[in-house]
Amino acid sequence: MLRKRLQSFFSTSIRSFSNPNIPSFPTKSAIPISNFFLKSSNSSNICSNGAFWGNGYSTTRSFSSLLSLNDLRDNPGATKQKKRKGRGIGSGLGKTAGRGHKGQKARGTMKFGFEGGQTPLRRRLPKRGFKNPFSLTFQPVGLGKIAKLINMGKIDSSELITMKTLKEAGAIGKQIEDGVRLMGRGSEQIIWPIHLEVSRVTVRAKAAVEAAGGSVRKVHYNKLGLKALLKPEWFAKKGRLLPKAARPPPKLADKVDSIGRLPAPTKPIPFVVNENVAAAPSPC
Amino acid sequence: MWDLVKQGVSCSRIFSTTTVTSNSSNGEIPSDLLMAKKAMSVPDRTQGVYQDLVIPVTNFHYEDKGLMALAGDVFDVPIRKDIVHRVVRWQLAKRQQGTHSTKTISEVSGTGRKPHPQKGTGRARQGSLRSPHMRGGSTMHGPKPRSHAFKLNKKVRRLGLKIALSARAAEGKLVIFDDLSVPTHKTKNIVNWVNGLDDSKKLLLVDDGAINEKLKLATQNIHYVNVLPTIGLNVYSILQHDTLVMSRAAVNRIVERMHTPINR
Repeated sequence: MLRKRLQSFFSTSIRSFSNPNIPSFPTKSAIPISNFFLKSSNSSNICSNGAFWGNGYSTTRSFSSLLSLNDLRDNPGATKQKKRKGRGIGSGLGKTAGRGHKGQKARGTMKFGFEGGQTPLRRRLPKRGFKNPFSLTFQPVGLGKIAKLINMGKIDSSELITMKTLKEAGAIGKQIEDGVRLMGRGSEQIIWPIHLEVSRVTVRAKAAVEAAGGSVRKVHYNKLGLKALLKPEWFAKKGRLLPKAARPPPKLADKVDSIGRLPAPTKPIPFVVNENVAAAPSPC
Repeated sequence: MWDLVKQGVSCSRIFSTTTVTSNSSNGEIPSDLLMAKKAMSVPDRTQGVYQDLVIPVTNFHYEDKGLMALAGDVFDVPIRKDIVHRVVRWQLAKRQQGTHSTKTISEVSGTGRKPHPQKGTGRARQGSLRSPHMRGGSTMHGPKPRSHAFKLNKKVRRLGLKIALSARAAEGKLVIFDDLSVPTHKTKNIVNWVNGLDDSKKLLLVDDGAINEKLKLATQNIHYVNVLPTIGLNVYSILQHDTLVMSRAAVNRIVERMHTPINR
């Protein structure tokens, strides 16, 4: 008899929950949330199964709103307490406040790296080398990443893949210093012929692309040329024409196959067997 | 317990040893009995999947004016409490006046003379009459006027607004009106309308463009109804009010704003 009374209470409460706003608005397409629960969602469930009553509420919590001012917190680990030194025994940093006992270091500050007069480590070790102002840094990109982007549809493999397409697809990131270097990680995923124009390639990456029937051409761009390739609109905004592509300096001439073309090309230049390859610009 | 009394369970049952809510396994009381507000019902769709929502449009006279589609990337983003926490903290910090001030030892009025010689008198050594340990002395490391504002990324602020809107939409507390026009400036019309609503304690009305003078006057004296233009829509205000009422134009304006990229 007790159970019957409770069942009636429950069925009325559930009926009222399912139609909360009848007098004011037409019932909305219900848009509720998965992690909020009132386990007694089905009144027939309760009526039939007496045991359900026992298990229903041990772990659930119901809220009246998804987002309220009294229920906001940052993720655990987002904030870390500061170390407050010299504030009592219980903190672990009282009295000497992490400085040990007596001495110059306890009483004042000593310069960092000072070893009491002994030649410090940074002076004991020898200097080395120099910084080469002409060195070029290329951003590495693996073949696996290119394959993934082609599968996602962000790179069109029927067209020539230049450094511009790689940057726009997100293969490299926003900073391209002097160019792009094609590396071999994930090279087994390249199974279709693709045509690339990048600054440098590794031997294995080139072999993998050629084995699939594609081609890789190493092109030279100087800094200005690279900017014109990647951001031609910068020149348009300034009212300048695109610059002519620069020849590589004699030192780098054997590291590249040809001069880069501006604006960004769309058709690859096929490799010819004889060495006199004129970089005849195919229609862009 | 009194809910049960209203439902007709007699008092003797409640006070008896075989209590109403006892499970012999644990002594927990079902949480819906503990709350005065209504709890939310079990959902029939997952939230936060960027799905476009369809909401019926109505107006002050409870008429049905059709349906409206809401963009999923603005009204159905996954709920991230931590982002909303950051945005609310940012909003409350930047509105702080920061006009708290204390005097340091250089500012406290008084002489700089050493009160008594260093040695010879049996007293403790003192350098100044206005040291922090002295009565009438300065405050050490006390507050100085400063700004409490800190930078929060624009994209985070925008995401916070989207989350707040999605939360209200998901709870069913987002109401779209055809337009927020009222016939007169009488407050009692608004009061009657709010009384006709079920389960709303504080309402935020959002209108596009300049707010109707009549609506402004009508809601001015009601503390539980507030009006904002779309430019003023912010996370803290949305969270302060449990129901959000927007006009069609306001919704379109907000969605358009959320879709324009943030430029440097």
